[in-house]
Amino acid sequence: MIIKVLLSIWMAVIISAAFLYAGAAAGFPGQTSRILFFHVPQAWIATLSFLLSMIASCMYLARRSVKTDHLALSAAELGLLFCILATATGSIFARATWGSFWNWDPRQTSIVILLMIYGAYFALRSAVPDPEKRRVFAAVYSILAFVTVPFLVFVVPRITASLHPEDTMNPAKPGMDPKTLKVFLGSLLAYTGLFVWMLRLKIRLLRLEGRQEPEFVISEKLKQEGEKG
Amino acid sequence: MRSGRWITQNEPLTYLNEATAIWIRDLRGEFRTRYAVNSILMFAVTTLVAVSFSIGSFRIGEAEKPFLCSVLLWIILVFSALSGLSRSFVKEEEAGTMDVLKLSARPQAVFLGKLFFNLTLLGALQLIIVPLFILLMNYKIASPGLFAAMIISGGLGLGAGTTIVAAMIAQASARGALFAVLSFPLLLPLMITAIKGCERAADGMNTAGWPEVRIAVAYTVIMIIMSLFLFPLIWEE
Amino acid sequence: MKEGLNFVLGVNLIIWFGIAFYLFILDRRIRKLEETSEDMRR
Repeated sequence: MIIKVLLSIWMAVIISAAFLYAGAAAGFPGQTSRILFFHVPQAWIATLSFLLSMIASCMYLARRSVKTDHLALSAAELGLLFCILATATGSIFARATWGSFWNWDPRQTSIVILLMIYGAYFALRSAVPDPEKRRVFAAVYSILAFVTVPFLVFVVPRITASLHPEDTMNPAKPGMDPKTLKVFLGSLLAYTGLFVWMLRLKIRLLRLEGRQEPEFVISEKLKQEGEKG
Repeated sequence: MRSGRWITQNEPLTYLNEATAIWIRDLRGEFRTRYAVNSILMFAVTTLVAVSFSIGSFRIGEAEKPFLCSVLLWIILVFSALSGLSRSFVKEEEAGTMDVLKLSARPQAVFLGKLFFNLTLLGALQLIIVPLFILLMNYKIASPGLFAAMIISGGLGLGAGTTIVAAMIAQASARGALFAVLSFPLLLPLMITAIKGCERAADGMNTAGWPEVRIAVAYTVIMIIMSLFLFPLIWEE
Repeated sequence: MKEGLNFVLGVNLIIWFGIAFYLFILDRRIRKLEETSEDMRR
């Protein structure tokens, strides 16, 4: 509990620092660089979450323990959430810096592809009625999607480079200014903490739902009868 | 040769035999009903006609032609494939023959057989649509060798990336658009590569090494290997 | 510009505290559910 309180305070500190403590970065118009304190950690969490979900999927296929599927599903849900956030903040940044919300530059393209993979994953999960099959299929798809990622890393820069020969957006490594670096790393820590907190909440919820099994209902009935008699 | 291989356990040839048997059986069925090939071809021809009619070969500037035509061609090919390739498994589900299939052959053999079938369909699709496209859109291709290689390797990748997905959706409840939704993210790297490769072949510049063809082949190989690993998991009950 | 920044900062903080509050409530509700289901199981 104390950690969660500390985390909440830390995130508030980081948010404040992002606006008050750190300066606006040089190469960007006005104050727009500040969004990177939020946008980059969101994007990192979105991709790491995908990786986590894939690893959990592998573990599920190996051992068939429902707990690992809970992890895979929760990581995927959170990954989707942070992916949407990253896409939104990214396009806000693009609008402020480059004038248009969407440019299909490599970063934007990759985040959208990740979004589509997540979308497909959930579409698959909702289309399979049998729970055991659903878990297996989702895990298989997760692995297949992950396998295409190296290709995307290779291939996307080539195609987008030819589409937009002029310079594309480059969320600069905020390593220039020590203050900026501090806030950035702090934000990374805050978002990771937030992710872990939300992940654990989701997993606990899934575990509770799992307990709504027939045996649970029957034991409840027995208890009620015991109280009557 | 015997115990070292992980895919083939004892009789390397029997896998291929079983796969081929399934392939030929599907081909024969297809020859009789022509369901899948018709629907795929109809989709492709319709799209091609729509594209050619509305855009035409004269509306695209010479400088843009190599790229835009490549894009259009691959959109037609990919979406035609997405409309028809799930047939290979869905028809088993509809005919009620899934269980028989599961009992009669090893999972990897089933996968390979269905893969061969899908590749055959794709091959036929490409054989008809690509020349038609080139004609209708007046697509000038500087390096036909590279172009052909790209078409072939792209087609192989298309089949490799979609067959296992088809197996999954055939066993799911809401079929329809699910196949396209699931396949598209998997196919994206291949599509991007194929478009770039055909563009390069068309304008003839920088064609050394055929990088896109190699990427497409790598994609095909990896997708097939992963599918061979994963298919038994979604196939067995 | 300074007032603008403070304003955005304020909005962000309000949103964040809202989120944190929501998470705490969720946490408490889930814990309650976990405890009742433990009692049921015993």
